Amino acid sequence: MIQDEKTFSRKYIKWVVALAVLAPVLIIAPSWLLQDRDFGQWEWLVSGSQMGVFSAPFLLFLAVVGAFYFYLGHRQSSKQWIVLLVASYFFYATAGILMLLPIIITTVVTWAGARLIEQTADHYKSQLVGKEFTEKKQIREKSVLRRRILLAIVIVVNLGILVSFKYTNFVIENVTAVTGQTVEAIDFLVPLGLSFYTFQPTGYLIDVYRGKYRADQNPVRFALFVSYFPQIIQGPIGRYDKLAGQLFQIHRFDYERVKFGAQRMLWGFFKKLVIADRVSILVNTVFADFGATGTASYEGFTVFLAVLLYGVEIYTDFSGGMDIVIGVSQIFGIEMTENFRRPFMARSVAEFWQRWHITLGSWMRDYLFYPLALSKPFNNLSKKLRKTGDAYVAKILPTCIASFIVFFLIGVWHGANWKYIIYGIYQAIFVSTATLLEPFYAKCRAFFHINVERSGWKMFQTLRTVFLITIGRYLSRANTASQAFAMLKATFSRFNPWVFFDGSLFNLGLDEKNFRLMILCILFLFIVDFIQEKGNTKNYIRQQIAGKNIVVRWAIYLVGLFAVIIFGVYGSGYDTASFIYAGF
Amino acid sequence: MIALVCLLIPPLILVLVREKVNNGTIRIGKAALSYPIWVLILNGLMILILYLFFDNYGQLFAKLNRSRIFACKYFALSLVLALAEPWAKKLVKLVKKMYETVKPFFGKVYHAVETIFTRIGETTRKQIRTVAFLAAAAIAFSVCNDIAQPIWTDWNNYNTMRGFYEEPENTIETIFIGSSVTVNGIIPMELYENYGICAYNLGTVKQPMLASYYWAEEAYRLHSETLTTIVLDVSKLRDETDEAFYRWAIDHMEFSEVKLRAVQDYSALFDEETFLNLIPLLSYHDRWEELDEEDFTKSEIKVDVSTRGYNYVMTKHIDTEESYTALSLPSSTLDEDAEEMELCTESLYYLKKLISFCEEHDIQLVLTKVPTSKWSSSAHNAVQKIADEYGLDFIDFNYDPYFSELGFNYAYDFVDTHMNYYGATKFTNCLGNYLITECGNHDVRGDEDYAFMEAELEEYHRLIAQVDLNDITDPAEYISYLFNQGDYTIFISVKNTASSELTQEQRDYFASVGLTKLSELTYRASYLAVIDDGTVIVERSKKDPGTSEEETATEEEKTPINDMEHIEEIFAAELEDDEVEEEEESLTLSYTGALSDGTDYEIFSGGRNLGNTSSILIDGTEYSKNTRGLNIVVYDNERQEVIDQVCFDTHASSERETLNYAIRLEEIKESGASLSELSGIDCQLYLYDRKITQTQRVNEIAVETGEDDLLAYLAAYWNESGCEIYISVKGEAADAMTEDVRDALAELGLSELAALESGDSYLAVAGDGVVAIEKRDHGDSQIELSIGSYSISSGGTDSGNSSSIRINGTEYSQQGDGINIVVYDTELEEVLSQVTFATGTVSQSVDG
Repeated sequence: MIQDEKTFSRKYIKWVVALAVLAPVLIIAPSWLLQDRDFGQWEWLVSGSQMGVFSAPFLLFLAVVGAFYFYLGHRQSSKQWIVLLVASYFFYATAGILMLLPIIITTVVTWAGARLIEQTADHYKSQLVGKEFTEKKQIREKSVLRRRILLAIVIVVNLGILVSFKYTNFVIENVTAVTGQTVEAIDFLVPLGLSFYTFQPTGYLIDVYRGKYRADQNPVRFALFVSYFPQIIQGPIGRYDKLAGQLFQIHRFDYERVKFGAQRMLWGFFKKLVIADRVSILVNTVFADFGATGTASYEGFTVFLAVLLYGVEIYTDFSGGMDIVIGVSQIFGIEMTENFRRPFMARSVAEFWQRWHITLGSWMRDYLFYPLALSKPFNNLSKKLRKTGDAYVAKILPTCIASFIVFFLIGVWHGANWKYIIYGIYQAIFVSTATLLEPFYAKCRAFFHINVERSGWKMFQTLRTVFLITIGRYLSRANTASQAFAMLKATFSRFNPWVFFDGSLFNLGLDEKNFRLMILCILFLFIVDFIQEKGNTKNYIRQQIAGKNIVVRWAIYLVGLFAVIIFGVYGSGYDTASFIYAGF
Repeated sequence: MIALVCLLIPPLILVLVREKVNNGTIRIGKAALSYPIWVLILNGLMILILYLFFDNYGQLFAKLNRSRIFACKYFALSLVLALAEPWAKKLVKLVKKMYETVKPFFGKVYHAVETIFTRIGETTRKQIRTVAFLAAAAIAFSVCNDIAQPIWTDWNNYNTMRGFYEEPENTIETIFIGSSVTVNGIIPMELYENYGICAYNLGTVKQPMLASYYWAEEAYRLHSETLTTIVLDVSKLRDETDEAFYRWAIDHMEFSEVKLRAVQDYSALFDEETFLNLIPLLSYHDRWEELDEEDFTKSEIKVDVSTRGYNYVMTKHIDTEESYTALSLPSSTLDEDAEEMELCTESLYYLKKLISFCEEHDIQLVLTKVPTSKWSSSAHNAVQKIADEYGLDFIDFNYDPYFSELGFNYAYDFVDTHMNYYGATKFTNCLGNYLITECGNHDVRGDEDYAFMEAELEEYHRLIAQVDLNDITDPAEYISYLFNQGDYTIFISVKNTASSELTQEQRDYFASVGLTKLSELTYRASYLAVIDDGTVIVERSKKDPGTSEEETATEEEKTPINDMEHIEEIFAAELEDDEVEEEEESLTLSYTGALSDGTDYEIFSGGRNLGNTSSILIDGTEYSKNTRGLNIVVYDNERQEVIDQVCFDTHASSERETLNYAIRLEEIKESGASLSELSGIDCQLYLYDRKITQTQRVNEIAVETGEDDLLAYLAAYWNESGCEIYISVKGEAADAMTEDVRDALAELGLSELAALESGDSYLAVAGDGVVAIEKRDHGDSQIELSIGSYSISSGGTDSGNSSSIRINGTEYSQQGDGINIVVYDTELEEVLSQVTFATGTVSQSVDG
């Protein structure tokens, strides 16, 4: 609808004022309400336990949702997606109904914001008709400015909620440390997936701002996009143009697709229950030792091995979770973006981050890195540098700085702790300087006559990357930066290769059989990853297995299923000793 | 099995190698392919490898060494295979031809199946596949489930749980619940045999009250029409149990609504998932690390229903301890004022539930406590209070009147803190009496609904055969008993020598049953025999070479030990002996065979100069006692287990001592033997019995004698055999002594004590009614006496004012003013009593 500038401006100002006034409330309300304290008669709003993904109730939940979903799919009902919406909200609300508050706020505010931005854009586009060049420029600038304000407010609200939950205590701690006055830390009831679900709608908002596609008219449909339960816990972070279309299509029960989805879930269970949870026992033993006061008893290779295994643990835990949610989504017929691509095969730290938590990386790239790198200040910097020095540096340095900032923020995003800041900087250094120092590295390689095509060199690169990433893991796993440094010191203080032979590795929480099983499973995991790397197509391994004859296929599935049941780390654990009768 | 593998692999390797040579891929000289030689070499290598790397299969090497026939057979077969190669090739060609002719047929079948499958639509096929897959998964799950569930054969747990469900419904009248003391203490079969009561023992190790309650419910579920009494042992009211024992008790309950609630309860208690605890594979999946043969052969384990929940143990406590001093002393005095102990809340909760349950279903609940060294008055009082509150009978066998009624002895009625068979029979019969008279239990003998109990009773008698055997002292009677019972395999093997004391009667008996060589047994001869169900399978003997019959066994005792003069010769002889050992082994008699159920056995016997050994191996396990005389092992063919292992030392005596210690103790007491004449177990039994009586006596005397009962005290101990009384005066001990007291003392024989004057030192030693030594000093010197292990000194008021009575270096005198007395039991080598009578100030009563 074409309206004149005045009416629009008035409307616009009303929107902005309303949003600006509401913003503080919307930011503070969730974290103010969702604290761990006595709710009295309102206890029922926050009581409940979050349904975990690696649990039997979840499978039951899936079965029920699946039944409804495919029934509607069979009937070609266009309301099929509502099942997913209800399921998503139900899943989220198992932690407590009030926990839905932040996500509802984000949904409503982002949806409204996108609509408003679009309306602004439309209005000014209509205003452009029949104007002169200079006027057109003015209108465009005004449009951009006005849209930017709306964008800023919504982003502030969304991020504000995230920050208020996550970083309040960090601020409190540092204030206490600096001023000496103790302010008590606050115990928050942190909503599920808080760090993750903000990305998806924010990406959508920025896309609408950029005019990539039209805003969603239907708030209920948009709610599903934000709260879709497979991705709500840990991602993968999806894009509206890819995801929304699939969400609202009608999906029928496809035997093969559902089978592949289930198999993917099995693989995820295997990674998480058999590998990740088993490795974590060992890792926790070593890290706990450093956490306690007093001298730690582990040093040298033992510590390094533990941190290396932590890398495996976080990989299997995170990617296992991804396998499950992608598998679940595949069952429903919705394809989600892969989040991991054999990260242990990366040949450089930069490449590692393209294979690890891919969706976060690409989100940061599209919505943070490019805007920064292509922004005016950076352009100016580049121009300045070109005048003063090396043309190569001039071209690269701004992107390096942008990349540095991005990784720094990724570090901070992990958590509110100084160690994460250091972690971020550590990663940032490697990534940002990679291209900067490339000429230098090339010279070095020429000096040593290194043939980059040889597999030996590739192997070295891979191992080097693993080593560097593992060093980073010291920071991400240790409780504090000082603990991380203590562990680093312990690692390099003693050269003790004998730990691999004298059986001391069997005293780190896992006995000999379990340790060997763990190694075996990790080897198996890497073989599977390797095969996937070679045959880099969708559902590659599953297709391969499906191609085998029925006996082999079933054997593989059954072995996989029973491997999870028998070797999975769950339940109360069997202690032979307590079953031996020691007397009256 | 291994042999089969060894047999097949080398030829296969050779075939492959040959093929490759023929193809030209490998080049070796044709001569080197001499097949037979290669087979021999490869087989030899394979055995060597197995021997080196797989320690278990060292037995393979040993076996080959021992049974040469086996080795020869093995290599011969190997050679035959090697030589038969050309014919083998022809055979393979033939088989291939046959396959070619048959294949089209199979092809047609396969094709037909395929067409059928393609006719069924794609979707149906998928559905069938899915269902079939799920079925396969379910079957695999069920198999893994069975493997994962641990079974506990210890403490009769497996038999108790499984046996319970094999009993016909609505037959059991009484159940016993409680912990391991119940498991070992109640013999339902005795209750049936002696009182006709149909009972079941549902005790389990460390059974928590929760499990006791749910088993009561479970018993009621299946026997609601007949169940009238529940007897609960209250041991577990005092403390909590480890989670593992909830599973011991509940895992093998059949699934029902009762079990579901039981599992829910204990899962909640330990913060676990009920769902996981109901499915063995999910709760025991971590057992993959420790699976063993037993887990996979569970279905082969037979349930022994005749136990009816009782754990049959024959070990006697005194046999397992080095000395009787390790055994507890029974004490039956209840301190009624002892403060009630705080019982475990969880146990009390379920006790209350049990009480309500019993009230609701009109069942009489009886509380009981087995005799044990770990009970206390405060625990008793706590339970008694609850029993009184709910009107329940509490039969505590630790205190009178039940204590005396039971009349148990820790030495031979107990294994450790649990009863053995002997104790259990006493305990069971006590309760049986009570059940009939106070609980109205019925006698079901003769009732046709209970005919199955007779069959169980017969099995039970075979179970407890050793009880009767323990009573038998004559080897001939022993064998005769087994023949009468029937279906036993008896192994006899002589070690060293067994002929000297065999009576003519015994020899006649052996001859009469077919053991001719045994009846003619000579000095130091080897002898072995196997008798299966009355039939002599084998009897072998070998006379001692050269040794004259008159030589006695003490010859080797004549040779001195550590003889440095002849050490070179002795050492050389020893070295030679080691070499000769192998040769000697062939001197021993041996026989290998198999029992009727297929179990292998080997039996060896060596007389004094023919190996001097006895070995009876059944399924690889050694059962022979391997001591001098007739070593006998009895195998029950029906129960498929060894039920007794004994040795009759017929070189020393034609009969052995009875293994029924109650009888043995009686015999010792009747014979009036003194301690020096007893040895081994007899000595221990005697001393323990004495200890009990002495302790009782000392307690009685202590209660009866006050501070003025010097004469009564002395009189009580004066004539005790084996007691020594040491007296030592400190300070003033005469001032309050009246004439009457002095007269009484003089009458005893303590003349110097009777004449004691103020300030005197005095010491005395008396025992067995006689005064051995008496010393008094009127002056101002201390007097001392030191003989053997004791030393006494005494100092009157002016003579040091001290008193000391040391035995083996330890001071026992109370060192009070007056007469210090220490009573010492020379047999027990213990001080019984230490007192002081202040005769310097307190006048003593004359009633002795």
